[in-house]
Amino acid sequence: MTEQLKVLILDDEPTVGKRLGPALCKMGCQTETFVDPTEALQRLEQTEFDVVVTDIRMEKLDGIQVLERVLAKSPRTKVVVISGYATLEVARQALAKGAFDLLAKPFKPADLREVIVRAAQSLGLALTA
Amino acid sequence: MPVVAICAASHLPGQDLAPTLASQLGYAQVGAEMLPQIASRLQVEESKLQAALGAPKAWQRINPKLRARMLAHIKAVLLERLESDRVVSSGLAAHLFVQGVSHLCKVRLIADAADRAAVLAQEQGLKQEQALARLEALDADRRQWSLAAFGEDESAAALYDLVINLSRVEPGQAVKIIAGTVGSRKFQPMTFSLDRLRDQALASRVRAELVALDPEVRVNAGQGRVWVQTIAVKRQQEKRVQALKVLAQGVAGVADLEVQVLPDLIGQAADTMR
Repeated sequence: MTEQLKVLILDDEPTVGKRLGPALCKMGCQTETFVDPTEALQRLEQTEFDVVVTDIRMEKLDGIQVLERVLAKSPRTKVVVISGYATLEVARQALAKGAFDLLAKPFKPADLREVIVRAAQSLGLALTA
Repeated sequence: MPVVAICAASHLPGQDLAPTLASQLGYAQVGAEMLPQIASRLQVEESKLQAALGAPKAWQRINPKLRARMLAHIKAVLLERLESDRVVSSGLAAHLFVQGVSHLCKVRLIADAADRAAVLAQEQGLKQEQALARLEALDADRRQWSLAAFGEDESAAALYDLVINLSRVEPGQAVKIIAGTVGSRKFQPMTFSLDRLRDQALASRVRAELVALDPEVRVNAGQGRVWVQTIAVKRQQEKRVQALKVLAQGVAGVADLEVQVLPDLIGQAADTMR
C-alpha cells in the first residue's frame, strides 16, 4: 500500500477510541479519534477520510446523523457504525442510509480490523488485518 | 447474502411460490425435505414428526418432553442451514424463532378467505360455507399452535417484513416484490446480523444437545461464549451442572461455557414434605 488508510474514530466513550486507535494504527492506518461529534464533523469538513467509525448513541449528535453528514460530503467514505444498542431496526436504518457495516459492542479489535480490511478493499486499497 | 423465510397461510390458490422465488434468486430452498434429517436426530419416525407439525391438535397430543426435543432440533437444523446463506426457507417456522436478524426477510403469504375456502372445498369435497367454517377453525388452530410453541401469533402482520395477498397480487408479481425487497440495501448482511444468526445457531445447537436432560433449559450465546440456565433441586444441582457441561462442551463452536443453576423451589418443597 503506498498511501495510508485514513480512519476517523468517533465515540463519546473515551476508552473506545483509546482501544481502537492503536489497534488500527498497528495495521498501518492513519487514525484520528474524537469523543465530540461536533469536533469530528469540523475535522471531516477539513479532510476527507477513507473510513469513519462512529458510535450511534451520543449526546450532541447521533451516529445516523453523522453518517448522513459524512456521506453528503464524501460519498466514497465508508462509514462503519458501532453500537451497544444494536437492533434489527437500527441495522436496517443504518444500511438504508448507506452504512458500510454495523458492529454490535462489545467487539474485539480484530473484528473491527476485518471490517476495515473489507472497507479498504472496496475502495481499491490493499490492507491486511 | 440475505435469507428469506416464508410463512404461507393454508390452502392458498396457485402454486407454492417458494421454489420459484428460490430459483429466481439463485438460492436453495429448504423446508419439508429437512424432516428426515431432523427425524433421524430425534430418533423418531419421519411420519410421526410430519404428523405433529402438520396438525396443531396432533402437536398438542405429543408428550411435552418430545415436543421440546422436536422444537430444539428443528431450530438447530434450520439455523445451521440459514447460516450457510442464500436460502429460501418455508414451512419450518423460521419466521417465528429467528429473532433480530436484519438480513432475514420474513414474508407472509395470504389470500382472501373465499379463495382459500374454494381450494379447501375442492380438495375435500365440501360446500363453500362448510369450507369457510373449516378454514376458520384451521386458522384458529394454527394461531394457537404458534403461540404455544413459539409465543408468537403467526397471523400477526407485525411479525413480517412483507405481507402479500395472493388474491390481489399475481404470483409472478409477488415473486418480483419479494426478490426486489431482498435485494434492497436494508436486507444486506452485515457483521451485526451475521453475528446474531451465528449466536442463535450456536445456542440452538447447544440446546438441542441439552434438552433431553432438561426440557426447560435456557441457552444463550455470544461470540462463542455460551450461558446455560437450568433449574434443579439442591441435592441434584451439582450432578445436573456436570452433566450439562459435559454435553455442551462437546458442541462445535463452544469456546467458553457458564452453567447457572437456579433452585427448584417447588421440587424442594415437595422433597421436604416427603
